[in-house]
Amino acid sequence: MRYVVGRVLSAIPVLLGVAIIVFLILRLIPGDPATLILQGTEITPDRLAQVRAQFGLDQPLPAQFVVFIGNIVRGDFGYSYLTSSPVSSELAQRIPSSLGLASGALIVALAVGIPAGILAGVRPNSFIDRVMTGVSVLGIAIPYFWLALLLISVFAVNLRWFPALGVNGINALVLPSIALGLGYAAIITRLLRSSLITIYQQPYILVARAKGLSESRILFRHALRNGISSSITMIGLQIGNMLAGAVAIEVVFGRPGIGYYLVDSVNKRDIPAIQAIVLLIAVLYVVINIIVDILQGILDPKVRKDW
Amino acid sequence: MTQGTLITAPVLPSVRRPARRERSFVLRHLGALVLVAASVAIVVVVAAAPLIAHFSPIDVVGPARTAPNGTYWFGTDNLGRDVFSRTLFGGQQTLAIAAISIAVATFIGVLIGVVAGYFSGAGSMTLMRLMDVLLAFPTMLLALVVIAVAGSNAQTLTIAVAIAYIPTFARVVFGSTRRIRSEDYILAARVVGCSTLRILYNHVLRSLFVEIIILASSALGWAVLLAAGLSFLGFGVTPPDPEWGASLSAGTAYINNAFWMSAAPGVAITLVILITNLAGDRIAAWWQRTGR
Repeated sequence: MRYVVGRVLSAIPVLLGVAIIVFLILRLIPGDPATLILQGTEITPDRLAQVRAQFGLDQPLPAQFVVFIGNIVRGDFGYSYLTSSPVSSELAQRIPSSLGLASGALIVALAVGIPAGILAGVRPNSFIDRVMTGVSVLGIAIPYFWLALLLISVFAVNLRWFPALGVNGINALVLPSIALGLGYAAIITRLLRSSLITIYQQPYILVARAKGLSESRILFRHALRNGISSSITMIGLQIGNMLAGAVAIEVVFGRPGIGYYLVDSVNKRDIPAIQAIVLLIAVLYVVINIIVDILQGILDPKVRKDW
Repeated sequence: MTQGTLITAPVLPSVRRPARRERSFVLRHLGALVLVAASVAIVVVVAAAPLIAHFSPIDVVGPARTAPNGTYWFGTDNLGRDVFSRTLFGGQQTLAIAAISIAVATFIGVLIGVVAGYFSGAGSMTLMRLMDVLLAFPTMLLALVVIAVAGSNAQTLTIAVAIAYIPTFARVVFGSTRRIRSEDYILAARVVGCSTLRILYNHVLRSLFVEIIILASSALGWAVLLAAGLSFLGFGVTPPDPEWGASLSAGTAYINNAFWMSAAPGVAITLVILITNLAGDRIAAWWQRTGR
């Protein structure tokens, strides 16, 4: 329990830092933020002053930051410069679609990566290991956005098994999840393989064999339990990249998720929307890493001692 | 978060194989030689693009969407531009962006890591806390933030990719510097009166050299992916200039009737990442075998 509390508390400075950077996005942009807000409309000194007062831009920076944090905590990300609707409601509409994609990709990564890693790691240098290793090397190298195109071409256009575009139903989730998840499956395969090979050379596996345990019991009870922990850390570290990689996947498959929204907002320089999305992904990433660390503490008691 | 968001390939443990007869140098190092040859070939072909490509990468040189043939080796695109030529010249853009940004990220990241790792104090702490905060952003997100702030062109794209990788380099180098700071040979150097600068350069930096090379070599591949990914989304290189990610994006609409438009840059990116990854793995394995 002390471990859990310690890990959660250690994230607070990082989260505060993330908030400061997101806050600074608007301030770092060259030029006057008020001019940016009024982009596309007629700019008069009166309106500039009005906008500055309305958005609190006439206040000193620390005061602005306090207001900014207060708003975030209340779930208020401000209003989109372009549509004038609250960013939070725009986000709420798009989160389910992105969450679906991220979970789909995670399932693909684990469902493909773990069995492949076991198959390769149990018998190193066998034929099946060579195939798995070769495929995973290629799987890591193929850019996911090109893989997405290839999948569309084969499975959507030629075979017509899955739809190429849209968000309707579970079928529409299959291709994007594979496109995003396969690279991570390859990473898991390689990691799990190498940790299994190391573990199988440990004395305790020899002991387990000497006791007469079956190979499957050795694998699942002794080897895998240790071997999987580095893969879990890697997935935790990679989930942030997966969320960001979803940007291109959402664009290719025309899924209106937060990634698509981010690209749109960067193109149109819709700062409140950019701030909200960046904050959301970064905070999610930090939270997931805490969960991963706690999970590791459960799997491996040695980890807990560091705290 | 010890490693950052960079996918550093796991070092493969060696598995004992049956003893074999001593083979010739070429056979023993076949894999490494193939990798070196492939990297040299890619760099030379891309650098010598004006000598190799018959056509301009920007002008319309033939009928639109011609399939690959003897004249147009990789076919032509939707406007009738030569895909082979665009792939070579596009490589100049993509590889230059990736190489420059990794050079910058390595330089700044190593500087931060070594300085913050060697000296302990409030300054070092603050610097590394800042790196931790930046590591909370996935690389692509950090790059997009830079582009959102600085605007979208080839220069800002290069800066964005560099900034995205600085925290990773700083973190790794910081950890290693902390580890070797208290080694006997550093103490010995201090005892004989070496200046701090000399210790940092001659002793710390040089013992980290291979580690940095391994990191930079795989990072180069990821930088190609990141740069191409951002151009794919429409940030960075402005049309009609060729660039792998942008060409891939242009090929999206023609995936069914002109697959070569996206296949050429797709294969090119895959090859570069493949080579950098395998090279990183090999150097790491060699480094582990010979002992540091």
